[in-house]
Amino acid sequence: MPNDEGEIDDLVDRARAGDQAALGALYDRLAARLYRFAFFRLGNRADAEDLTQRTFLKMIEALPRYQRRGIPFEAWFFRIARNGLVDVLRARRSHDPLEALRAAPSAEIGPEAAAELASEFAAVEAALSRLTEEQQTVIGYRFMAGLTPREVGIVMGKREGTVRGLQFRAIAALRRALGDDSVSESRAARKRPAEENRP
Amino acid sequence: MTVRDDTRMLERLERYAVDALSPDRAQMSRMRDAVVVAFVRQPTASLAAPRASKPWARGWSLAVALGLVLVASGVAAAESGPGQPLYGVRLAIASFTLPAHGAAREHGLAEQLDDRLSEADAAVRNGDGPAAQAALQAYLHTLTELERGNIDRSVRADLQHHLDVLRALIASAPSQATNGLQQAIDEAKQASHAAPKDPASNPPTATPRAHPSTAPSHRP
Repeated sequence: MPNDEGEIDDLVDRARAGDQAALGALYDRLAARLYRFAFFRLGNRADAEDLTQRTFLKMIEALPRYQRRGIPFEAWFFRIARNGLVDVLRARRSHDPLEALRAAPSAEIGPEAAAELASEFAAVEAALSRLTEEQQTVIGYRFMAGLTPREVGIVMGKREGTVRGLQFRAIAALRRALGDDSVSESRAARKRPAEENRP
Repeated sequence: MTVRDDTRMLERLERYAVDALSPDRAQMSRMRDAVVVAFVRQPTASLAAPRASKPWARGWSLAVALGLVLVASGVAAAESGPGQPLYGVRLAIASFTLPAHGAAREHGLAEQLDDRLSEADAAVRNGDGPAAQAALQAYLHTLTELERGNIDRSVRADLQHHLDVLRALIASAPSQATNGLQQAIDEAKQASHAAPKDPASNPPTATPRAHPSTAPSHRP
């Protein structure tokens, strides 16, 4: 994931000066990541598209007020997105971010691979839906939006260590939910040679 | 839990994020068009970062604001007469404008003495004892300043004239101003007879200083 703060700051400066290409570059860096995060949290593509678009419009309005002061631009940008997300969720009142989410695999692969992927995605979604709200949010920022733990901390208003802790517990919960039995596989592998050597 | 376990889980999540949640090309294109249109409509000037965000810039802003306050206060003080709230500010500003030393300073102080005497004269004519007292206190303060330097011949001549005015004023002054008038008479008398401290360094001026147009009207 691109995370070159100096390069992004340069793009921000150029965008402030009215450079359309710089804005385009910022869009290319951030749009898909924000969309993925929004889709993950909101559960449908139309809302994700709407939130992504509105976040960029608010970013353009707020660009003159952006001051670095130790806050990375991406964290600042995702804070805008977070505020928009909160508004959408509040308007919905009751929601289950993953309830409506049924991600479809790309149509460019064959039917067997597509079925396999669909099964994989359904399993991941089911596991994600069992995480706590905070764990889902951290996973969303870290893996859908590609933010660093420090940036996630800034966006969520939490310490970096807290974010890492939430991520650690979320990953452990996902592994359990997904039946990721690599640990048991390892144990089995350790036993297997002994069994194989049996006469 | 091992690093390998984590890596495998993270790979599954990243694959899910990229393959299942990414926008399609049509969505990216739609959103991009909307963003670019909004950006182009935004005036460039409004995109620029606000200025004066650096500490030194804030310092300048503060200095400019303070300057404006001082100018405003100065304008208000310039209208203040003796006994009014900003009279002291007006006198302080007048002191700041004086040369630091030398004959020019002495002559500046002498002109200020003329002004204070004119104010005392006006206050006495108006029967305003407190204003007369304030003007006389200021007169005495300025006279003390003048005595610290070298009083030349033309200034001594001015002080003789002041003595005449002060003596005339005391006859009609309100009771609050009589003590101040008497003090001013005593000090002016003493200063007008004081010998130059260092004549060589402060030769007498060739031409006597002109009296201000606001000279006291109570001439004997």
